[in-house]
Amino acid sequence: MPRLPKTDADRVYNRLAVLRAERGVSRRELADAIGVHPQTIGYLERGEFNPSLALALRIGRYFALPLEAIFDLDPLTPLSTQMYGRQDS
Amino acid sequence: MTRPAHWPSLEEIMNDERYPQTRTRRARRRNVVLEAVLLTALTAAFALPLPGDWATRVVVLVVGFVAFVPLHAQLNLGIRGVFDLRRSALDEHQFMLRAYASDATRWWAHGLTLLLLVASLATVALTDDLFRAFGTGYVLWMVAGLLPSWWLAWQLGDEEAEPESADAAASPA
Repeated sequence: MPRLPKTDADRVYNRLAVLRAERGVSRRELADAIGVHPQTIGYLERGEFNPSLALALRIGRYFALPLEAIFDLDPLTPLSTQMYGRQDS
Repeated sequence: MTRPAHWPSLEEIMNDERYPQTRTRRARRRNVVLEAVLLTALTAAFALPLPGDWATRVVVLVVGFVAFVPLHAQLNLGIRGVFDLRRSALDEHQFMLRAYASDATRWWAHGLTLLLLVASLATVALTDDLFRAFGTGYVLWMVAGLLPSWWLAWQLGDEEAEPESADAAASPA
């Protein structure tokens, strides 16, 4: 069941914006591919809407990534940090 | 007169991107206020003992609804018709917004329905005027039905414009 997160504890964090930038996918293209309105992608990216399991799975299938690479219950660390470790500048 | 090759569906109309001006918080709230003022005035025109016969009130009702139609069309465009489109035309976020708005206004709508019954019965009892009672009840019934739309229109923020390109659109989180 999709939800509107009321608190941070209720929120599902995601990497949709990063993934879209990386793959050069517009909101509309992603929305059309997974069957939602483009505005809904904005709500997802801003963390104002927690997707249903079915929608999350469709997003995972679209990017060919496992769900845990896209969604997390904790704030997501940048992918570069995950891959190469912490790099303080 | 030539017919257009394609009649837009209600879904296409509600999601027509030519009307971004209706999808700002300010425009939505303005439409809610204007609708509330109009329907309050219509309720008063029926419920209060104002001068004029039933024909005058019919004219008031018709003029009021003629003014209401474009107002509500704008409000509906502002919320992308989530209360008018069928379930299958909404995505899960839009359907959730509809459910939240209906849930948030449920008791207010019940209260208004009770009020319309009391107001209509009181109008009949005090004035013996069935037309006034019907008019009062009808307008209040409309308000009760519109409450979820008003609530949602009031709550929603400005929509983000669709960015020109994906590269410009996505900013790393």
